Amino acid sequence: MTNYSTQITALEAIVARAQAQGQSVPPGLHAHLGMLYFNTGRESEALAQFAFEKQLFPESTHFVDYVMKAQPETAL
Amino acid sequence: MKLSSIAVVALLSVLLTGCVTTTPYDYSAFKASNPRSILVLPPVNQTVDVGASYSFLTHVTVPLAESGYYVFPVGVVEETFRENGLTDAEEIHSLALERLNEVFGADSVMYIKITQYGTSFQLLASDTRVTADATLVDGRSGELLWKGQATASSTEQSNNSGGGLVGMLVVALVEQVINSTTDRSYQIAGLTSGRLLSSGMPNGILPGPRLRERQGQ
Repeated sequence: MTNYSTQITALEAIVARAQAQGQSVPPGLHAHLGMLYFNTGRESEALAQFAFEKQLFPESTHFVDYVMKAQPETAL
Repeated sequence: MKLSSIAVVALLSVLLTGCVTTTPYDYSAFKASNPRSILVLPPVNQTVDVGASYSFLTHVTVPLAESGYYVFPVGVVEETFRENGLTDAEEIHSLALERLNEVFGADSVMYIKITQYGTSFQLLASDTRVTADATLVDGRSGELLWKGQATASSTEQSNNSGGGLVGMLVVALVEQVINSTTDRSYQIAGLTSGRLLSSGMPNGILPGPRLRERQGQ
C-alpha cells in the first residue's frame, strides 16, 4: 500500500461506503485523503477534503490550517 | 464491526483480570483537563525489530477513536514531522510542548514506548509478544493525565491439546511456523494496542467526549 493511487482508491471506497450506509467516517480519514490528493497534484480535491475534516472534527482546525499553509503552491 | 471487536477485547480482559484486585487510578487530573483530542507521537522503539514503531502506530487510532477522542491522523502527523526534518521518535518525544502546540493545537499528547516486540523460540513453545506503555499529558501544561501498560502474547490463544510429548512437539512446530511466516507480531500489536488504549479497561483511559455524548451522559 505504498502506492498513492492504491491508497486513494481504498480511502475513497471507505468514504463511499460510509455515505451509502449513513455512517460517520473516522477522525483523520478526510485529512489523510487530502494529503494523498496533495501529493498527487489534485489540489482542489485536497482542499475539499481538508474542509470536510474541519467541519466534522473542529478539533482538527489548527492542524489542518497549518498543513494547508505549509503547501507551497496553494494560495489561501 | 470495530465496536464488537473492542467489546470482545474488553470482555477478554475482564475475564483475564477478573480475579486481580487493582488499586483504582487517580483520574482527577484527567477529568479536570477533559481532553477532546489526542496527538499520538510516533512510538519510541526499545526492541531490536526495526518495524515495531510503525507497526504499533497503525493500531493506535481505532481504540482511541472508538473511545470518543479526536485522534490526529497518524500518517499526516508523521509526514509533517518528516517535512520538518524530524524522523527519529526519541527526538520527537523530546520536543517542547510549545513547538507541538504551534503546529497541532492538541488538547493532549500521548507518548508510547514499545518494550517487547517479536517472537522468541523455545523447544516446546514459541511466544510472540508485544508490550508497550503509554503516557498522556495535557497539551498546554504538560501535566500527567494518565499512564498505562499492556501486553499481549500468542500463547494466550494457542491451546496445548494434550497428546504427550510428541503432540506438544507438533504443536510447537506448527506454532513456530505460524509465528515466523505470517507477521504474527503485527497482529499481536493490535491486541496490545486495544488493551492499552480502549476506555473501559481496568485503570485505562477515560471515555472521551464523543463517546459520552453518544451514550447520553
